[in-house]
Amino acid sequence: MQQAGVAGIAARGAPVSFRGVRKTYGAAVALNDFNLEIAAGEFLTLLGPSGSGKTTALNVLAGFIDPSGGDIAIGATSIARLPTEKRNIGMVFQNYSLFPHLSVIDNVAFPLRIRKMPKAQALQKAHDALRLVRLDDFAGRMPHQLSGGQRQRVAFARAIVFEPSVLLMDEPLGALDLKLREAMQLEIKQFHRQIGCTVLYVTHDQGEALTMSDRIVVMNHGAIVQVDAPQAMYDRPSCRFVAEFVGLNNILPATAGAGVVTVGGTGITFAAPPGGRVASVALRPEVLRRAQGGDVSFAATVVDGVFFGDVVRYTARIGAEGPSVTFAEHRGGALAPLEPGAAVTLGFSADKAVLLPD
Amino acid sequence: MRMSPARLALTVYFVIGVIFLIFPLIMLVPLSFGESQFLQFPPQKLSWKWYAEFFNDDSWLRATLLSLRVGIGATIISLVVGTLAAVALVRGQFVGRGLLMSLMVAPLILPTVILALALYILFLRWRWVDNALALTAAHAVIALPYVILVVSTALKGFDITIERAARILGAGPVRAFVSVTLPYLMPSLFAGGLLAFFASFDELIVTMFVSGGLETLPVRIWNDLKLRLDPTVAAVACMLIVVSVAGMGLAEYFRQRNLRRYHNS
Repeated sequence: MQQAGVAGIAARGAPVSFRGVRKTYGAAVALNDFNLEIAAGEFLTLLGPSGSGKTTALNVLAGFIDPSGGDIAIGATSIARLPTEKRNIGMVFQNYSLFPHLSVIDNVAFPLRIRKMPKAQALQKAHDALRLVRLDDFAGRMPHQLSGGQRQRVAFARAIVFEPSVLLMDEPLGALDLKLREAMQLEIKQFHRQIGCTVLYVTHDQGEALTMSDRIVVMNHGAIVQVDAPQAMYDRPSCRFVAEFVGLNNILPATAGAGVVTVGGTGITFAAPPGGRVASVALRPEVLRRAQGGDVSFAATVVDGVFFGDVVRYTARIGAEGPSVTFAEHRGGALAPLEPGAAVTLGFSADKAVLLPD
Repeated sequence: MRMSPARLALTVYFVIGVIFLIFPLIMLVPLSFGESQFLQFPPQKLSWKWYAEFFNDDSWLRATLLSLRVGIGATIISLVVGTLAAVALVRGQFVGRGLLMSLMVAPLILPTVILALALYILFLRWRWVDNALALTAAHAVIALPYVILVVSTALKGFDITIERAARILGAGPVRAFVSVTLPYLMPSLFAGGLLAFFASFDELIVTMFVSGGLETLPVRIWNDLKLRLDPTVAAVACMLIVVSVAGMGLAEYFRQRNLRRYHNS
């Protein structure tokens, strides 16, 4: 970890609140009664499919879109009426949006020069920011001479060099290849810890959201579906949409009555504490395994096995005519690999099954 | 290397096409270096005489100077007005945008004689005939469509998030436009300005209608041809060709540089 050169850049995060923010385009609702409190210094991710309203929420906070109603505040100050340039927000865009006619150092110094910081001091500070992203040696280059990952790091340096209390990131890793994306996720997380500003991160990549966030907000059709920490979101999705969108899941129709859940078309039953409505049950692939003592178990036939390197992901049919489920097994375990057509007894621990209302 | 018949035919066709286009221009070169009083081809002896003639003749120099002044003035006016118009036409959302665009580009399509006549009638009424400033304004009308077309095309291809980035980093709308969008538009402004300048510089019809006694370079050439035919005209033409080619080369250089910067991602 590179702590030495970072002394120059440190921002105190500020809380952000959306209060009943709405955005409509004629009859189309892009954002509907959006309420969200983001804590100071929090890394919060808006996650959702395209058209879910996550980018609209981000653009409203940035000031690129005027909300149709509601209020937004940074700290105790409402910023709904402030023009973009007065909001003091850093932002990293998906396509980097570096200024192509300026060198790397001039790009990073831009927000400081706009704020009328003397040139020498601005350059000093810009070098600090570049050192943070380990691109100090590239200060004199032009953006088109950099790789995608380097451009994104420059964009990041430029967004935090003026120590904004809030940093917005709009699918910043969307244009990078998988390996680089994973490396950058860790780097961004590390930068965030070092700088301390509040981060609002937008992505449609659930893996990215799980890796990086303090909390995740899942959105759909312009509204918030669930707000939770990554692990809680993964383990306890509140509805079918979240269960399907975040991670892989087997969703099976189910009914509940008198403390017993019955999985439709399979004959599987298990005890569950009485609660609200139950329409389906979600079983993660890693929750399903070859049956052990104490498991809810059922007979299945392997249909297919897909090799993923560290794991093999199998598809199996429950009973003769039942629904299919997928489950994963680590290679190198005690169990022999399964061939298609093999009969297998699968099981899961009842408390790992997630009951869904829809 | 052997060429297929089709390729050979295309090459021959290409060469003939190019010769057809530039042969008249090439003809001018030996004419301008001739010794004789008359436009004689091929020239008997070579000399710089007619080039010297141009620089020694006050009326040629005055005409050139007037053309430069009017051309530069028209270029500046059309660049400023045209760029602002292009921003409004590309980014604005108002009723009649398409109509306005057509109106502003109309001088390009309208027969020049009609525009010249209209301007002449107007200028007569306002007593603007024989006025260099009025001539500049008239030329700006002719030059404007070039700037609007070139700049609005470039603006449509501009990634607005770059300007948004400048805004969120602290620049107001005007500052963001000047510091981020304008540099992107630079090659287009140069190309548009070049087209605008030459649209004015070689304008003859409108100028003859509204200039009164003012003699721009094309008018001077025209008058010269009517009175006597002397190779100074050819020398002037050759110098203009060199200047035009240099301008186009420079425009292409800026365009290439921009391509590298903005489309290399």
